[in-house]
Amino acid sequence: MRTVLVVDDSVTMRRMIMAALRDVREVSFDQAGSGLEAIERITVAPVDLVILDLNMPDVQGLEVLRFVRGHERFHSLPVVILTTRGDSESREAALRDGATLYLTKPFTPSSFAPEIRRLLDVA
Amino acid sequence: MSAPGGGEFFEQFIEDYFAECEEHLSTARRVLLELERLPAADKASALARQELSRSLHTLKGLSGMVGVTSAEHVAHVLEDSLRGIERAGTRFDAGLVDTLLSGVDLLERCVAARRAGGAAPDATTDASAVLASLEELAHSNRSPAGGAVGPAATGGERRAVTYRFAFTPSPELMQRGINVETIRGRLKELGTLLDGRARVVAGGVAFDFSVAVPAGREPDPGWRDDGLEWSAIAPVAPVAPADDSSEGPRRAAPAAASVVRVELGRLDAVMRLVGDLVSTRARLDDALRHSNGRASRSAWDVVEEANALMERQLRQLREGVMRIRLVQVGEVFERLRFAVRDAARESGKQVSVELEGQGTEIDKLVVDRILEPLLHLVRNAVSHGIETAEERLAKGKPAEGRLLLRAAPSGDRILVHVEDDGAGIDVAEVETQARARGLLAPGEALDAASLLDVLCAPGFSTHGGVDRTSGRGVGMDAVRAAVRALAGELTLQTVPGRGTSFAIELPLTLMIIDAVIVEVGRQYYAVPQLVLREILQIETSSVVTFESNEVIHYRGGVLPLLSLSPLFGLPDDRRPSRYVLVIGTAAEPMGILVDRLHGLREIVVQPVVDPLVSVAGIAGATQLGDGKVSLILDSAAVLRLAAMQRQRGEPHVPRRGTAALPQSS
Repeated sequence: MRTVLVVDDSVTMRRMIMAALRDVREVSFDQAGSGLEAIERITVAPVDLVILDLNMPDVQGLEVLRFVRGHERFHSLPVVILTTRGDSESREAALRDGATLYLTKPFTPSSFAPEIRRLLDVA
Repeated sequence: MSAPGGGEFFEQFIEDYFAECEEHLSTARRVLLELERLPAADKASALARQELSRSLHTLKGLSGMVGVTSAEHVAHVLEDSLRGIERAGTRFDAGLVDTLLSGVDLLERCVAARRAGGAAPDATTDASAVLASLEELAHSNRSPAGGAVGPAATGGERRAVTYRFAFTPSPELMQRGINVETIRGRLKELGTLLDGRARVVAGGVAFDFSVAVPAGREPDPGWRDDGLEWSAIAPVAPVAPADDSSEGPRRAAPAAASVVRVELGRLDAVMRLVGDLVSTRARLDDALRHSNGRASRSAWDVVEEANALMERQLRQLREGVMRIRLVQVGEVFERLRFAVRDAARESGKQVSVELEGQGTEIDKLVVDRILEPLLHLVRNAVSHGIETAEERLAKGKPAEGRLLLRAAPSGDRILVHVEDDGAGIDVAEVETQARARGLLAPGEALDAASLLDVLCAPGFSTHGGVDRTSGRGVGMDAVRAAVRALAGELTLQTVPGRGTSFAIELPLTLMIIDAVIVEVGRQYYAVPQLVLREILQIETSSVVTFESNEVIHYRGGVLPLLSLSPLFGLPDDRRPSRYVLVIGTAAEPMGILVDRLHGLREIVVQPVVDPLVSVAGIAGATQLGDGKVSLILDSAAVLRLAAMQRQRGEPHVPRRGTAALPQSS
């Protein structure tokens, strides 16, 4: 069983993301509603993949990403940015800071789920 | 790869979307009003601006997911205009806040249009004007106007002390429900959260927070057991005091992560089940009493004990379900604050709003339906109650009028007050008008009760025309009708020169059902639409008396008819019945004779689940908008009563199809 951490400050958006992935087998979800909570989750219990929003209170997505990439332990942890920000600066900044994949909202389950399957290497 | 539209897939989240939109829209409005008051240089202003842009960003993202593109677009334009404002350093003055608020209104209309299943409002000229002025803001490079940093915050500033907190999470703490979000919630209550960041420590992570804590407050020493450490650093620049109105409800609200949204209809279904359970238990109780003595003493004690326990548990269950439906009245108060601001601006008056008891809880349904009447009362208070600054100063009052919105529980009801310190109602003027309109008999004086009656007479107004601020086409009659429809009561106190206070007393919880209102022998009954199979219009001549029972031909058989008045022991002064309500099952229908139909209405039911106060056949009472009381028919009980009469054989009601009837032409 793989654990996917879904980080978004909108409860509805988190539920949408999990619903879009419900057909991915052998995956369980953990959630965080803020950047700080995300960091807490990642450090306290192991996760296999992070789906990360950029715009969040206090500690933004990019700071979470930098925190993750700044530590040896999480070096190979896939981090998928899922954001409403479609501009190229945001994309480049995220990829520069070590994002594994940069996806934008709105998304469709049929385009989103295969990417996550591929990264998790599951059916 | 053919991708099904995300909008269709995410349609299943549409209710969550609406609910979350509501939250963010109200956040956006609250923050905009805050920004108008806060000096731009204040840290609190920067935090508020971030909160606003986050709310808009979330609205945009969610709208895109569910395919409400008009809302997505408006949110996007609003976000852009905020960035423009930030870039240009424009001050959040009243004009700017108004423009942004009209954008938020437009956004709300887009969401509402989707909810109503209608077209988005972007085609209207109004919408394009709003969008145009927002887009102008987005591209503005206007440098800050003179004195752009804004006025000092309006009084009441306090010195604050900055504390540095460090929180180290652990699996043990998490198990106790303490994580970085709970800690952050506590710190936000304590003061203004300035920043928060993570730091790696041996074996894990720690979080550092800086918090500006208002003088006189201190961290709870008990927090040290929850993985939190802290120290005070130094006093910092004044921080605007936490605004009671916005902090109040937020403070009391539970952490967002532990909240579940439930459709009201589902709760109603549970509530009905609880009601059914209570009557089943009452029957069981009855049966037990009749069987007393047929079992051994010791066996009987166990049964009695279990029965008593079940009664207690049922009561708790009922209370528990009711509590789920309760929400805080603070959100409504926030919207009223907003209306007061608009009304004050329009009438050129100065009005401050004070809120009390925003944490008071009330049924979600009541909250939704009390907004309109309250809006009317506060607009009235501002446009007619509170005087202009000049008038007030001349009377020796402070220039700024005061409007107090207060909520407090009172037993199983709640009391909401709308109180102003204005001129009070001109009773002599009302009396003159009332006499002129024949609302007051000659020689009859106007007392507190009749004053309200006169004010609530349809169309009554002491002001020439309907002005925009308080009028909007509804008068006090509509206010009272709305309050009554909620099984509430409106009262009034006014003191010349000192002000006016309206009090609304409301039930804590209630249910709303669709019912057909009928009249039988001058008594009104409400028959829930759900139990109605059919309504027949009949000729008196078609009613046949058969073995001293009235029946009519119905679908190839006969339909036994029931008169309500004798059933409830009321005088049977009925006029010729013209309608029959068909209830019961298809196999065993039953007709209820009624004199007149008064249409389908939504009625409010205060669930009566205490068997001690209920009357067989009556599920409760409801007050119609015009003040008439109507009894709510419990069709199941009526059918049982009819069956009992049948068993006793007095008067005998034939069963459908069991009797051969002479064919009437």
